[in-house]
Amino acid sequence: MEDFLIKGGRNEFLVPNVSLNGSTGMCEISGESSLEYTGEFYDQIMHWLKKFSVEETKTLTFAFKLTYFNTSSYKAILGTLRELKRQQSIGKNVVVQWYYPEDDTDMLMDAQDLMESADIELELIAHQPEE
Amino acid sequence: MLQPHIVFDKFSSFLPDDVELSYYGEIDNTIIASLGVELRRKFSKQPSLFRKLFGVYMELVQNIGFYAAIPKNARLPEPTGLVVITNEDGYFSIASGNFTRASIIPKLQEKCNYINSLNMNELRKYRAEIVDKPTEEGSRGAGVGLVKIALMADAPLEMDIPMWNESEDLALYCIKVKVKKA
Repeated sequence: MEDFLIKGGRNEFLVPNVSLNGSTGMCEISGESSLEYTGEFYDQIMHWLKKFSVEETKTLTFAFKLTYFNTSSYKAILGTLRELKRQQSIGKNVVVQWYYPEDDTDMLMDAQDLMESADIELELIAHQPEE
Repeated sequence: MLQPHIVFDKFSSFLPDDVELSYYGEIDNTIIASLGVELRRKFSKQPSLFRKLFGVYMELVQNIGFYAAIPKNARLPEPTGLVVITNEDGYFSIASGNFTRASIIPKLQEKCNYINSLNMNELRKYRAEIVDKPTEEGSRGAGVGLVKIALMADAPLEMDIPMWNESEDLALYCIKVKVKKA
């Protein structure tokens, strides 16, 4: 399956980096998320994940490495996590990792709350992000 | 005609001491990004503090973009707003202000009072409840912005309405958020 890549940046909006690897099933979103069209942006990720679920049998590992997201992005990330949970519930091998800056209790709290709202297990991993 | 010294007098009497960053004018996406860059530069040696201040700042300025109104006959760009970050004892304070429709103020006050009455766990539960609700009428954000601000704040949210004109459906809405320095 084809890869999906978005090179993020900080210009007028905060666009996260997205790397969805169809060959390995390794997926990552990193950076900051405050977008002009939040729904459309995350819909692309959702579309790829659904396609991967149908076409591939290998394990999918999705790593969230965001250091900031606004409330619209929070809602969209929750939708993404619910899709990953749906895939788990139909027997797909899906691992979700959530990296948070080791001194960032707000981000850890967000991850815990998203985990509960999406009813999905997240591997919570403290790290030192490149700021 | 407004004389330069009058502008300065008004400006200096308005601004409190120890201002880290201040802006008044059109709040568009370019300005939001530019002020964000300045905030990032100022607090580059304190990444943890920066992330908290930046998170609050972004919610406040995005809300100005969503809800600001302009007084009739005022030659102001829309949306216009104010954001000030001050260095106070033990805290940094982030305040924003903008004209908005007076009719939305009662709901905002009610929401702010309710949020201030909740402890951290109750705030987290409340966010989980409202994040799945359809966006409220007249609300352009995800509807959880104030809750997110309260979760990051280290003191109750301070909301003030220094001007309220029902006949013009116009009010001046100000909110101040405190974040501990350490």
